[in-house]
Order: sequence, then C-alpha cells, then structure tokens
Amino acid sequence: MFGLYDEKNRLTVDISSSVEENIKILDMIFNGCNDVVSKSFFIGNKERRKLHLIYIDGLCDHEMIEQTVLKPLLYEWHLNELSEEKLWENIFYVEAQTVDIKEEKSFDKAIESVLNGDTVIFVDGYNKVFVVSSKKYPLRSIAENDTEAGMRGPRDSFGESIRQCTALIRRRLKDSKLRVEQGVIGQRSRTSYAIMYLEDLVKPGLVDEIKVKLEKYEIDAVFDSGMAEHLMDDNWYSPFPIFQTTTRPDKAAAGIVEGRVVVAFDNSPEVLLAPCDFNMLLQASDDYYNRWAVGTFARFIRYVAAFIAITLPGFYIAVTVYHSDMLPTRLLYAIANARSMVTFPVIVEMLIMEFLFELLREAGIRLPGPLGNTIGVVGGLIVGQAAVEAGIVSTIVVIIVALTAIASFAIPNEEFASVFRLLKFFIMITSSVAGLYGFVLGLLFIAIHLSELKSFGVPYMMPVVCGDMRDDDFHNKDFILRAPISFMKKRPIWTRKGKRIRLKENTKE
Amino acid sequence: MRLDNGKISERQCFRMGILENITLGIVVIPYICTGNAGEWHYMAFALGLVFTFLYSLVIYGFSKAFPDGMIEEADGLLGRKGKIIDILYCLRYLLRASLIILFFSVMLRGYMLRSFNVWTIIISFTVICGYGASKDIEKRGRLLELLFWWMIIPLILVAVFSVSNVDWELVRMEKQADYRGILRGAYLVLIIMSSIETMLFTLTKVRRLNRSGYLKSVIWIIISVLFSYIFVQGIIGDGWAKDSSMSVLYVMEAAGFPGGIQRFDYAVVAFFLIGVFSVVSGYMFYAKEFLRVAFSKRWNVFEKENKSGSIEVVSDKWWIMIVVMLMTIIFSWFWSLFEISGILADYLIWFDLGISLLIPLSLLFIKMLKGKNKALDKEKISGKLNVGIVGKKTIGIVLLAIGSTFLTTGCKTRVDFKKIDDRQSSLESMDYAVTLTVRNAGCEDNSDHEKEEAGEDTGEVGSERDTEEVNYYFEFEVADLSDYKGDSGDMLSTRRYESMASDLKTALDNYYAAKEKHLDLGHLKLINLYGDVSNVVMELKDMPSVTKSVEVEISYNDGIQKTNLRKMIKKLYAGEEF
Repeated sequence: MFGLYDEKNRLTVDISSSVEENIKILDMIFNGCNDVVSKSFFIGNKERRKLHLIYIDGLCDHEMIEQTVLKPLLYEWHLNELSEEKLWENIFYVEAQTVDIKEEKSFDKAIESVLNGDTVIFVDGYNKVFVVSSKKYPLRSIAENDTEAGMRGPRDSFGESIRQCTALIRRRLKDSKLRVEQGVIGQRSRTSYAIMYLEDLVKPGLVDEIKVKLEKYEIDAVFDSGMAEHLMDDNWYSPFPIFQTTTRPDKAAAGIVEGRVVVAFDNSPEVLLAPCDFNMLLQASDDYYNRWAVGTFARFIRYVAAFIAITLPGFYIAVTVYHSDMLPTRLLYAIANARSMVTFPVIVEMLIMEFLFELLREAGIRLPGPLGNTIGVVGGLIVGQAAVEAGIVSTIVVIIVALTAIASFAIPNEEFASVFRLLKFFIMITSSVAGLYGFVLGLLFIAIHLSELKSFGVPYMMPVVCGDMRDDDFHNKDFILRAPISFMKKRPIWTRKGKRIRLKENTKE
Repeated sequence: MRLDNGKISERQCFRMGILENITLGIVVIPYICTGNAGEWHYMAFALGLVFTFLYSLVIYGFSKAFPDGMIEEADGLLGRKGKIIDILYCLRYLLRASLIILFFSVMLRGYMLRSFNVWTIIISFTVICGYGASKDIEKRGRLLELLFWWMIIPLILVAVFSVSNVDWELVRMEKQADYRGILRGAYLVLIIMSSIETMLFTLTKVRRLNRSGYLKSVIWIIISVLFSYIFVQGIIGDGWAKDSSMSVLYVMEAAGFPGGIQRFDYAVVAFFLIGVFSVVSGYMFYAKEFLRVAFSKRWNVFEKENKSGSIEVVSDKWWIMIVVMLMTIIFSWFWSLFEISGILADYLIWFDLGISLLIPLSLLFIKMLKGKNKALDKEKISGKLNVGIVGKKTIGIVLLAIGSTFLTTGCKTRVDFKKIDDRQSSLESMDYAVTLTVRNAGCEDNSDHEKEEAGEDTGEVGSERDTEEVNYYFEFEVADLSDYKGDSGDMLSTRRYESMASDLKTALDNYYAAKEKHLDLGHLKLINLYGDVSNVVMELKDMPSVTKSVEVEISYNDGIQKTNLRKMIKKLYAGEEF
C-alpha cells in the first residue's frame, strides 16, 4: 500500500478507465477508514454503466449529494444512449444539478478532494472523475471578536474555515481586482491557504515572495497560521513578528487596500498580513473609527504602555540598586521602609513577582472561563497580599509588576505584547548587572536588532526610520498622530507605484 | 518590492552626522578651551568652530571629488598601494575607537558606576559597539536614525530644566590676551571636531546628495556644540570646566525635574552613552569598511560564499571587536589615563588631522593626473571574494577566551581601574544623611541652637580621633526610618552622628565603622559650614552622589550666608574665599 505514495506523500497511481481497478486502489488507500462512504451504482435504462461514489462522512453534505447528483442520475435519467462520446457531457452539463462540479484527471488530486470533504464519482470507461463540491465541516458560527475587541466598529471575527475568511473579506471589498490564490501546505495535513490581494495595488514581486517562502519547506502538517508564519520568517532568532496577525475582517480588508497581502489558512481564525512594521502592531481598528484626536491619544497611550511594559521593572531595579540618589527623598524613604521587611535582594524580589504574574497569566489562559477569573483573583489579591505580609516581596514591587502587566495588556496585538513581556526580563537582567548603564546597553541591543529587521523589504521601524522617503505621505499621517481621514490621501510606500493616491476630492461639474 | 538599495536617506545622513560629531565636542571642548585659552576661551571656541566649518567644506569638496566613495576609489586609483591607505585609515579609526572607549569607561566608572572595575565597562561597551558596527551602511543609517531622539531628548530636557541654574555672569568674556592659547585652543577644537571627516564616507552613500543638506548637518553640529558650551560655562564656570573633562557631566546634574526628582543626571548620562556608542561604533564601522576593501581579494577572512553563491559577511564584527579590545588593553596596560590623554593629544595634533587632509588631497591629485575618464573598475574592487579562512566560531572562542581571561584575572592590577566604592549596599541597608555640618577645627562653635530642634535624638559622638591630622568636625543628621509612616504628615525623626576627621571620606569611614552602615549623602537637604572648609567643599564636588543644588548655609561671626553647593564650588574656582 505504501508503494502507492512517493516521498512527498503524493499518490503515484493514475486513474484507471476501469471502475473495478479504481475501487481496488480506493480500498487500499482507505483501508480501515470507517468514516469513508463508498458505493457503486448503475445508471441507464437499456444500457447500464457502473458509477462509483466516495466521500467522507462528517465532512460532506450527503443530502446535497443525494438531491443534486444521485437522484438525477439514478431516478431521473432520461437518456437511453450511453455512448462513450455523450455520456460524460450528459452527466456534466445535463444530469448533475449542481454548479460546483469539475473533472479531475489526477488520482492524487481526487483523493485530496475527498479528504477536503468533496464527493468524487468514478465512471466506468473513463480515466477521469467528477469532483462535486460538497464540503460541510462541523464549524462554529461567526462569533464576536474577543481577542481584538474594540469599542467601535464591526464585532465579527474570522472562523476556522478558510472560505469563511475569504468571504468575510470579500464582503468588505467588492472589487473584481481582489485576487484569491489558493494553495496547499503540509504533506499530511494538506492545509489550504489563500493569498488575497488587490492586483492593481500590490507591489510587483510581493506575492511571489510570499509564495516562495510558503513553498520553501516541506512539512508534515500546518495546523495554524502561526506555524506557517514561523516557517516563512527568515529571522528565526528574532522575537519580533514580521507578519501582522488579526482575527478582524475589517483590519484584514484595510490592509489589502493599503497594498498589503493577506494569507489565510484553513483551520486558523488568524490571518497574516504582510508587510508589517512596528507601528502597525500598535494600532487598533477603532483608531480609525473614532475621531482623530481620540485615536491619536489612544495611540500615544499605547506607545507609552509599550515603553513601560519593557522598561519599568528594569528601571526600578537600576534606580533602587545603583542610583537611589535619583529617587525623590520621600519615595526613597518609603521604599527603604517597605524593603526593610523583605528578605531577598531587589532583583530576586522582582523576578519572583514577575514569574508569579506570568504563572497566573498562563494558568488563567489554560483554565476554563469562570475558573480563569477565579485564579486571577486568588493569585492577584490573596497570594500577592500574603507575599507582601510574609516579607517575600515589598508593596512597591507589587505596584511595579501590576503596572507593567496593565501596560502590556494595552498592546493590541497579543503576539507583539508577548515580545515585550519577554524582553522585559532581558532589561531586568542587564539593569541588575550594571544599573542604568546596563539598562541603556540592553535597550541599545534591542534597537540594533530592530534597525536591521525587515518585513518583506520594508524596514521594521518605519516611519521612525526611513520616514523621510519621497512619496511616503502615509506614514507621517498614520503614526502616533493619526491625522483626520480627509488628510490621509496616500497609500503606503510599498504599494504599486502610480497607485498611491487613495483619497481625492470630487470636483463639481 | 525591496526598499533596500545600499543607500541612506538625507535624514539618516543628518542624524548620523549629529550623533557621530557632537558627543566628543560636548564633553571635551569646554575642557580644552578653558585649559588652553583661559578666560579667552570663548575666542578659542569661536575660532575653532570657524576652522571646523572650513574643514567641513573641504570634506564636502572631497566627497564631491570621490563620488564613488573614497574607500573604493583609493583602490581603483592606486591598485595594491591603495591598501596601504586602507590599512592606515583602519588603524586611525581603531585607535580613536579604543581611546574613546577607554576615556569614557573611566569617566563612567567615576560618575555612575563607582562599584565597577573599568575592565567590565570596557569589555561590555566594546562588544555592543562591535555589534553595532557589524551592520552595513543602510542598517547603520537606520540605527542612528532610530537612536537620534534617544540622546537628543534627554539633552533638551537638561537644557530646559537647568536653564534656571545658568549664571549669565559667567557667560561673558574677560580680556586677558593670550593669543597662543587661543590658537592652540581653536586648533584643538578643530581636532576634536575633525570627526566630521567620517561624513566623507557617508555623503557618498546618500540617496540624493545635496549641499544644503550637508550644510544643514554641519550647522546643526556647530549649533549643538555652541549651545552646550554656553550651558557648561553658565552652569559650572570656566574654573570647574578646566579642572577635568568629567566636570561637564555635572551640568546634567543641574537639571531639577518637577516632582522632586533632583537627580535625573544618571539617566541623562546613561542615554548620553548612545552618543559615545555612535562615535565608537562609527569608527569601528569605518575601520571595518577599510579593512574589507584592503583584504577583499587574496586574503579575505571577512566574507564567505554561502550555499546560494552570494557573498556574506561572517566575522568582521568579531575581528574589529578583538582589535579594539586589544588596543584598549594595550593602552591601559602601559599608560595611565592622563598619559594616554597626552599621547592622544600629541598624535591628534601632529598627525591625525594632517592625514585626514593630505591623503584625500593626494588621491585627488592622482585622480586628476590619471584623468577623469578612466573608468573605475567596480567589478574589480568589489568582485567575487574568496572564501573566508577563519570561522565565526573560532573567532568567537578567541574573543571569549580573551574576555574571560581579563575578567577573571582582572587584567593588570591598576589602581585607577579598580572600584572606587567597594561597598555596594542595598537601599534599605543604608543610612541617609539629611543635614551635614562641617566646622573647621579652629573655628569657634556657634551652632548650639540647632540641637534644640524637634524630633532629634541625642547626638552620638564618634570616638575616632586616631588620624594624624584632625582638621574638621563633622556632624551628620541622619534620617531615622524605623518609624517612618510615609505621607502621614509627621515630621521625620532624625538622629545625629558626630565625628572629628581630617576629611569627609574619613568621616564617612568612621560612620561605617561605628554603625556598620553606609551613610548616603545623595539626599542631603542642607549643608552647614563654619570656618574655612574649602577642602571639604571640593571633596563634595568630587562626589557624584551629592547633588550640587543642595542648599548651603555658611555661618560667619556676623551672620549667615545662604547659597547652594554649585555656586560655592564655582566661587572657589574663581578664587573667592569664605
């Protein structure tokens, strides 16, 4: 049986013109697969021709197959002649009462269709098959977005079906130039992906670059867009993501009209957007739906939050251990007084508390909803209070850790926020080794790394760097300051040349 | 799709120019101007800036004369002989980088890392600079563009918040003619600012090179240095500035931030390091570029061919780091910082500037002789390179070996590289002095009234009178935090400690011996002085932890004069007596 497959897990056999031969191969392929439904039929009034139908129970809408394929073929067949020339066309154009039917000549592709939930029909005498689209997966309906919630704007979010993702984007972009190129990744998972872009806006080469990256590796299975994202990332050593991920259809659609490319994967509610920069990862959809001043203020808060999330514990360690002269006198006395009851040095105290917080966060995620909230209360209040009273940590450290945690939650992209949480430990360590000198060296190290990062040729730190590029009006009006929509007249620098105007006033005739 | 093309933008060039050229100027120029031209230092400074401007025009001229870059054209014009120039330039920049690292490491240890050995700072700083220098010009442009505001914003904040401390009386010129000193000072300003030379290499990489953009950079460099010079003179005065190059750091301490944060200078100095990083990593970067061209054909250890056939840099950062670290170690092994400063000054005065002008001039002359039409064989210069012979890992191991050897053995035992302050106490295990009273032993006691203040415990008198010379009576009023209730509104309890000692350091040692606690003077609120205590004041000057804005009351027989420590130090430098 294994001889049927090549090293890339693809079937090497061809479709035979004899149904019996094909049934034997199918039996070998699906041996022991009890969810596979496979049955032979005969059609025709005078002459009889054998058909064999196969699909997978649970992935397929069998009622639809019975109504649109079986019933017409078996009970409403009105032709007597079953000549070789006419039979195929008759089934395809006349008898099959469905639009989504196609022919397939490759056995491998036919089996892939079956595994995707389609129904395949073998007809005796033909070395090709009919593939009827009959997918009907067990799916959850479109739910309210809970990972990228906003106060204003649409509430829907992508689901696990790739078609759901493409449909939700299409619903927002009714443009015939919106391309959806599909492919498959994963030798065993055969996960479908769709690359979506506006053909007239995307810069030449970007889509090809994404395709090359997707086809660079052969992998067993891809279960989520995250796995594909990491495969496509050349900077494996970097904690910073070079793709923006989102579950919001409006954000994905907005990305596409900025000349970016969306890659959606089956079974993943998160789509990838490329290129992306640091600035985009700190933006939220409702920045654009609120008035510009409110949006700008929210962004400013987020930038400050990002800075706090990465630096506050390290800065506290540096100041209290090495440069206590910097503290206002009263605060110094308060900290000294609070710390007089604590056994551990500042760095250990801070590490204990940060670790405790990460532990609570991780536990909160793994536990079911109501229990997750309980663990937050128990951990945050009771354990925190007890730790202070037991002299393990001081009150000021609890405040610092809580403030840092709140700041990290203000970052809208969870993947990006995790990077800040991680790098916070790096800064804590450098600060504990050499005070503010170590603090600055740590930040310098991160800055050097950030300045060399690129996302598909776009500098990661745009527009802080390269923001003075000619024709880059976009970044200057969509940075911390989010200009009024009527001012944002151009698309980003990475859109196709000559297609950068996105807003102009209608002139009255 | 790619936005990368091996070029930098005009803004990147501007920011690189500022960061690479103002740092040394801010720190060193006040010291050399006041040291050489005395009270005519403004004249020396102004003349030096004029020289700098003229020098920058020459550099611009060179950049126009070598549109493909001087590094590349030198090889094209001179062939193998061009490699001598490459190596010479490389050595110049490595020398500068190593000396600057040494200079700033000692300065940093003195100001904010007193419990550190200088070797630790040298090694860590060299590594980060080497990492920064290992990128190509495009990434370097982006990096400095990103870091620009990290350094500039703290400096602007210092300027804004310290402006109230500028003593405009000191920002004036007094006529005491010494034209030699003025010329020497001006020439040294030019020498310091000759780092502008590096723009010769960046200008040719700018996407759209234009003269106004370059002039804007130069003018802003000059304005930045001028502005900082005025602040330095206005805040610490020429006497203090002349005393040591580290004095400039006390300017940052003059900025009192709202909300009771008196000492933001540590953070400012830490972020000022970004400027030092820019300069050092810049020199290392240009050294690397020269080295790459010099060894780009027959013997290449910096690049290797990867699987796809393209050339990639593998190990230049390691080499440059090793060389800079070794040079730093060699310098610091044989000479003290003072001697190194002398050597550096001699080298810079007699050779460096000459090299920076004569070699491009000679190349220009050769280029004119050979004719403009001779096409530059770029392929020959940057053609396919040989596969590297030394692997990254090997060099990494060598680096680690050197680093760990010096870290564990402490390198050569140098007194001036050791920790200044061995006691690194945690914040809660220190005592905090609120008031310091210093009385010259020969001065009559007239301070009995102070002991009757509320909330004070009875004083304790240290018994240490074993020093040969007891000149001063010290009294520390120390905050008692045992029953501190925060913002409850109660007065802070204090206790007293008294000691007779020859100087402040001994008095602090006495305190440590008696209490087994380090006494911190970083939160002093008041200093009372009786009699001639100028030596103690100068001791306080040399203690970075003591804020120079602290209030000082000088008691005379006929009354009390109120001032602050900074003003007092300046007056002492000006020769006034108290």
